[in-house]
Amino acid sequence: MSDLAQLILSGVALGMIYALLAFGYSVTFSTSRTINFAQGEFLMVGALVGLAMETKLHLPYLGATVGAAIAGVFLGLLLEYAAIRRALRTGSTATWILATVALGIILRNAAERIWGTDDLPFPAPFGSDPLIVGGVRILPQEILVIVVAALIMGALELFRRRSAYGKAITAVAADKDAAALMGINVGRVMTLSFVISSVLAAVAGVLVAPLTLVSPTMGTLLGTKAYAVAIIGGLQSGVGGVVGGLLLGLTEQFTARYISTGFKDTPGFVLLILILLVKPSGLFGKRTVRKV
Amino acid sequence: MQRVFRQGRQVMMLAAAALGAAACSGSKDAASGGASDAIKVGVYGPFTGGSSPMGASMRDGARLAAEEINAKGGVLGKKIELVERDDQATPERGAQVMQDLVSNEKVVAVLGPINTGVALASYKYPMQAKIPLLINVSAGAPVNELFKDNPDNYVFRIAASDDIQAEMIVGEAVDKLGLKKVAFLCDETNYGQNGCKKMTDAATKRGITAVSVGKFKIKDTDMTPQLQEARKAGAQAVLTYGIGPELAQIANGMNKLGWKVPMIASWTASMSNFIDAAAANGNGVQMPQTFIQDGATRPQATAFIDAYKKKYSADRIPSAVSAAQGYDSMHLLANAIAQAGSTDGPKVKAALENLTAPYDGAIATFNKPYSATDHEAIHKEQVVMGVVQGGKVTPPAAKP
Amino acid sequence: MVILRRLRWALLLLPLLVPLITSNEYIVHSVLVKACVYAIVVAGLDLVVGYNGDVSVGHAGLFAVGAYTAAILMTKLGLSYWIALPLAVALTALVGVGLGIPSLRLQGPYLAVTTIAFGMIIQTFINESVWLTEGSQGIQSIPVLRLPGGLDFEGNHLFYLAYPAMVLALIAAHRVVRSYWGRAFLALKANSIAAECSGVNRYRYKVSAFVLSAAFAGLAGALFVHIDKYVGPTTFSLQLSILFLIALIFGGLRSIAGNVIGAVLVVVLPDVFNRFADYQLLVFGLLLLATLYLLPGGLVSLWRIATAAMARRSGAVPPVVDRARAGSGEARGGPPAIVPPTAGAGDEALLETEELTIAFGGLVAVNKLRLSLRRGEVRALIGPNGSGKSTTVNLLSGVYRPTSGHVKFAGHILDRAKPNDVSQAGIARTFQNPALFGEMSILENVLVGLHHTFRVGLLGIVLHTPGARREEARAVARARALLDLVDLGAIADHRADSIAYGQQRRLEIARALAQDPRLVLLDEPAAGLTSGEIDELQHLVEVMRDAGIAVLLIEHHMDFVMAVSDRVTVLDFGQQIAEGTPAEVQRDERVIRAYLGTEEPLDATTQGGDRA
Repeated sequence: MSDLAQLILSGVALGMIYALLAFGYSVTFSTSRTINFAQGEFLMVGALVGLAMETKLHLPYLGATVGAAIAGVFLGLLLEYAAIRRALRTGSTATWILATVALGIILRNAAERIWGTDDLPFPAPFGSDPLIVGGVRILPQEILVIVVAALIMGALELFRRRSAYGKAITAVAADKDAAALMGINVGRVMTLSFVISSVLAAVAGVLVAPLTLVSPTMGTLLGTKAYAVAIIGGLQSGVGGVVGGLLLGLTEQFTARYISTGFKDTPGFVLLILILLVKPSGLFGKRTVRKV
Repeated sequence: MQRVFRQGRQVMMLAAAALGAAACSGSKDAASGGASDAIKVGVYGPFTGGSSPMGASMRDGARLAAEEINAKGGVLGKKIELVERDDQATPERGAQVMQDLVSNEKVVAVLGPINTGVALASYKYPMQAKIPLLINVSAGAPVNELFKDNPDNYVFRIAASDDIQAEMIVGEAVDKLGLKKVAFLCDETNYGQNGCKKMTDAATKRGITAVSVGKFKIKDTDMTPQLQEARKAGAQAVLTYGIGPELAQIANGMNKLGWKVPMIASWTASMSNFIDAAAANGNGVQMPQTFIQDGATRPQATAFIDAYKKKYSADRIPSAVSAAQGYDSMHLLANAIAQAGSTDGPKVKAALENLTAPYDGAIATFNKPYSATDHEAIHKEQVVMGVVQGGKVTPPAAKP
Repeated sequence: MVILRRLRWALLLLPLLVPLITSNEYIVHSVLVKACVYAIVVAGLDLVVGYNGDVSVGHAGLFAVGAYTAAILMTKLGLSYWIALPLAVALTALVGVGLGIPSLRLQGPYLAVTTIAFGMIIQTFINESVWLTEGSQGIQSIPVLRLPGGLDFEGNHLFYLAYPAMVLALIAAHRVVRSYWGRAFLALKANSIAAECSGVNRYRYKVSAFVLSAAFAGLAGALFVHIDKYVGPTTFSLQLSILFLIALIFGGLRSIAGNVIGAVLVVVLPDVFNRFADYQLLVFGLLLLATLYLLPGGLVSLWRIATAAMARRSGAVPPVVDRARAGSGEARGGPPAIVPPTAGAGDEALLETEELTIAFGGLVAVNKLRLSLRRGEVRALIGPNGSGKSTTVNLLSGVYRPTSGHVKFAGHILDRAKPNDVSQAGIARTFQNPALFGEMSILENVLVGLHHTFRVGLLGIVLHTPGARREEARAVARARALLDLVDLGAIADHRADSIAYGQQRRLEIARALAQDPRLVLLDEPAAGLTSGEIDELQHLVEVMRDAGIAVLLIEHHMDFVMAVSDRVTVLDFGQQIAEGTPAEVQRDERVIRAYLGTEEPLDATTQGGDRA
C-alpha cells in the first residue's frame, strides 16, 4: 500500500513540473497560436542561472528562484522578439516552429560553453533526506514542487480571470482584431504572455533542479513531454495542462512499475494519439470557430 | 521550352558542383600527400553533448601525451599532430568523421571512440585502410571478436572490456559478499544493455539469475518505479550499468526509499558527475577501475594527474579513466611507431602486437600488452575495485 | 528543344562519372552517397513543410522505420534487398497513415508535437524489441548488395545505387507537386477555407502529403542501411529530425535543387564546422535563424535573385510565376468556358433552407431562415450590417455548421457537409475579402477550381502517363477559356497577389465557375469596384443566369442589386423580414425601418466590413 502511495507521490511531483510547462504553453498559444519549442531549454537556463546564483553569489534558494525568474523575463523578451514576432509577420507555421527550435539549439550550446556539459547537483533548500509520513517517504523538495507549482498556477489563473491585463490576454486570445479595436495593445499583451510563459519555465527549472540534476540537456525530455501534456489537456486551457500533467506523470510511473521500465516514456505518445483521435481539441479544449 | 531550359540549368549546376568537388579532392590529395612533416593521428569522440565529459577527457589525455612526446623531439624525428573530430556520439557521424580521417587527413592511426554504437559503425574503415584503431574508452565494442572475420585485425583496445567489468561486478556481489539475490539496473543505451548482457552471463556462470532486471533512460530523473520493483523482488544488491548522472539518481533514489543494500556499478561511477551528484548517497558504491585518481600510488599515475591538472587548470578530471586511457593509448601508439621505424599501418600493427619495451603508463605498466591473437591491453589483473568515499574514489585497501 | 531535352537527361547522368574521377571514399561514400539519401528525405519533407505548411519533427523516426524494415527483412528473413526495399517503403507509408490521421485533423502545431513524440517512441520501440531489432546493439550483419553480373555496391560503388534512386525519387516528387495534387497542397497552405470551398478535401490531401513524405523517408532509410552496414537506434535521434529540417531551410523550400543543396550542406557542414569545435551547434542555430529571416527562400533563392537581376539588366521580363508553365501550346478557343448545368428534377427548388439557425454562444446570428431558389434565379440577400448575410453564405457553403435546421440542395441534404462536399454538390462561392492563393499564378488559381475534373491517380502522375497529360491539358485549356471570359487571359501567368482588386474579384468568379456549379454564392462582389467594373460584373452575372446557374448575391450596392436580381430577400437580426421583386422590397415598410434604424439609407452605395 505504501508502495502505491509512494508511486503516486512521485507521479504527482513529476506531473506538476509537466503542468507548469504546459500551463506556459497555454498562455502563449491562446494569444499567438504558437508553441515555444525551446521551452525545455528555458527550463534548463532557469535551473543553471539559479545554480550560479546559489554557488557563485551565495544567494539562498529563494534568491536563486528570483534570479531564474529574471532570466525568464529576458528569455521571454528574446523569444518574442527574435523568434515569434518576425516569424508571425513574415512566415508560415514552419517559420516560427523552426525559429524556436533554432533558439533552443543556440541556448543549449551556449549553456554548454558557459556551464560545461556535465550534470551538476543542485542543493535542495530543505535537505535531501526524506520525511516519513505514514510509511511513505517524501523528499521535502517534492512537497515544495507540488505546493509551489499549484500556488503559481492558481495565482496565474486568478490573474487571467480577474486583472485587467489578464482579461486583455483573454480578449486577445478570443479575437485579436476586436481586441485591438477596443484599445488593447495587442503587441504588448503578446509580449506579456511570452514573458509569463518563460518565467514559468525558468522557475520550473529551479523547482525541479534539486530532484534531478542540472545540465544543458536536462530540459529537452521534459519540454517534449510537456507539449504532449498541453495537447492532451487542451492547448488553450490552463486547467487542462494541470490535469494532463498529473495524468501523464502518474501513468508514466505506473507503466514503469507495473508494465516495464523500458516503456516508461510511451504513455505520453499513446495518450496523445488517443486524445487526437477521440477529442482533438483536448480534454478541456473547446472547438474554435474558423474565421473567414 | 522555358521549363526544360530552366531545369537543365539547375541540373547542370549541380552536376558541375559535384564534379568540381571531386576535382578539388583530387588536388587536395596530391597536396597533402608528401608535404606534411608531422605524423597525423586521428582522435574521435563526443566533444559536445551528453557524453562529452568522457570524450573531452579522453581527447585532453591524448593531447597531453602528444605534447610530452613532441617535447622530447617527437617520433622518428617528426612531431605528432592530433587531428580531432567530434562524432557527436552518433554512429552515422562517427563513420563519416572516420572516413574523413582516413581518406582526407591520411592519419596513420586513430584513437577513440567513447560510444559503442560509433565504434560499431566506424571500425570497418580503418580496417579496410590497414590503419590501427586504438579503442581507448568504449568497453562494449568488439575487438578480439573481430579476429573471426578478419585474421588481419587492426582494432586494439586499451580499456577494461565489459566482460571483465561485468565479471568483477557480479563476482563482488556473489563471491565476496555472498549474496544470491541481485537486481540489475542498466541504461537503455548500447553501453548499458551490453553490460546487462555480460552481467547476466557472469551470473549464469554462478548458477543464479537476477531477481529483477530494470531499465532507465539517459536523463531519467526519477528511479522510484525501477527501485521499487527491485526491492519488491527481494534484491540484496543493486548492480548497475550506466553513466554517472543516472547512477547518481539511483543512489539518491535508494536513499529516498530508505533502501540500504550494496550498489555496485560500472566504472563510470568514478566520474565526477556521479560523485558530486550522489554526494553522501554515493558513499560505499563500488566499481571496477583501471585507474583511481585519488589513490594513485604509482609515480607515473601521480605524474599524469599533476600534468593534467596543471595543463587544464582543473581540480578534478571530469572522467579520470577516460583521460588516463586516452593518454596511455597515445603513448603506446608512439612507442609502436618508434619500434616499427615507420608509420606504415601494417608495420605499426605488427609492432603493437609485439611491443618489446615495457611502457610505464598512467593506468598500469604495459609489458607486451598485445599479441597477434589478443588485442586487449587490459586484463583482469589490472582492474581493481574502487570505492566512493567522502567524494573520492579510493582503492580497495582504504575500504572501511 | 529536342536537343535540349536530350541534353537534360545526359546531364542527369553526368554525376555518375564522379566515382571514376575520384576514389576518395570520404567524398563519394560518406558525403555524396549520404547526401543522395538525405536529399530523398528532404524532398519528402518538403511536401509537408514547403507545400503543406505543416512541420514534422519526426522524420528521423520514419527514416528509422525504413532502415530497420529493410535491415530486418534482409538479416532475419534473408529476403533479397529488392523485395525488402519496396516493403520498407510500404511499411513506412503505413506508419505515416497512422501518424497523419490523428495529427492532421486540426490545424495547428499538432503534427509537430506528435512527430516529436513519435521520434522518441520509435527509439524506445527499437530498444525494447531486442528479438526483432537487436535492441541498442543495432543490426550489424547487413549483407553486401550484389547484382547478378557480379557487380557489387560496396564502398564508392554505392553511389551507383544511391544517385539513380535519388534522381528517380526527385522526379517523382517533382511530378507530384506540378500536378493537381501539388496545386491542392499549395492552395490549402495559402488559404485552406478557400481551397476547401473550391472542392479540395483538406484532410485527405494533408494526410496524403504526409504519407507520401513518409514513403520517401522509408525509401531513404532502406538505402541508408548500406552506407555503414550498421543500423543502431542512436542514429535516429531528434537531432537528425532537426537536421533534415535545417537542410530543407538552408537549401530552400519548394525547390528540388534546394533539397539537394541542403542535403549536401548538412552532410558536409559539421566537418567544415569542426573548426568551431565546441561552438558548432551555436553556429548552426544562428545560421538557421539567419536563413529563416534574411534568406527565407534558402540558398536557391540566391540563384533566382541573380537571374532575375541579370534578366532585368538585359531588359528581358522574367516570368512572373515560373510554376505557370502548363500547356502553353494548346489551341485557343477549344472548350467552352462554362458548362451549363443540366436541367433536372428539383430545379424548381434548387436550394431550400428549412429553419436554418446558427448561434455563437448566446448570439443567434441566423434565425430560422427559410430561403428557396430556382434554377437560374438571381437572388439578392440584403440587410443592414450584422444582419446575418455573410453568416448565411458561410452556412450554405459548409464553412459553418448550422445549430439547427436544414439545407437542401438539388436533392441532397447538406447540413453536415464539409465545404469540399458542398462544392462537389454544385455550390461555389466567392469571399467578401478576396481569398486567392497568392503565391500561385492566376491560371493555377482557376485550375484549383477545376480540381474536381481530375481523375488520374498518384501512379499516373508519377509515371506521367498520356492520360494524365491529356487531363492536365484539358484542364488548362478550360481554365484559359474561363480566364478569357473574365478578361484575365492576358495575364494568366502573373501571381495572383500581384493584380488589382477588381481583377481579384473576377478571378474569384472564374475559380467559382470552374467548379461547374449550379449555384454561385457571391459575397459582396461589387465592393470596391469602379462603375465600369460593376458593369462587367453585371454582364458576368447575366452570363451565369443565361447558362442556368443560380446566383445568391449579397450586396450593399443597391443600384447593382436592383438591376441584376430577379428577387430580393431582406434580413435583419438574422431573420427574414421581407421577400419579393426588387420593386416590392423597395416599398416594404419593415425594410425601410430596418435600414433607417441603422441610419443607412436603402439606396445608398455602402461598403465596408459586414462582419455578420
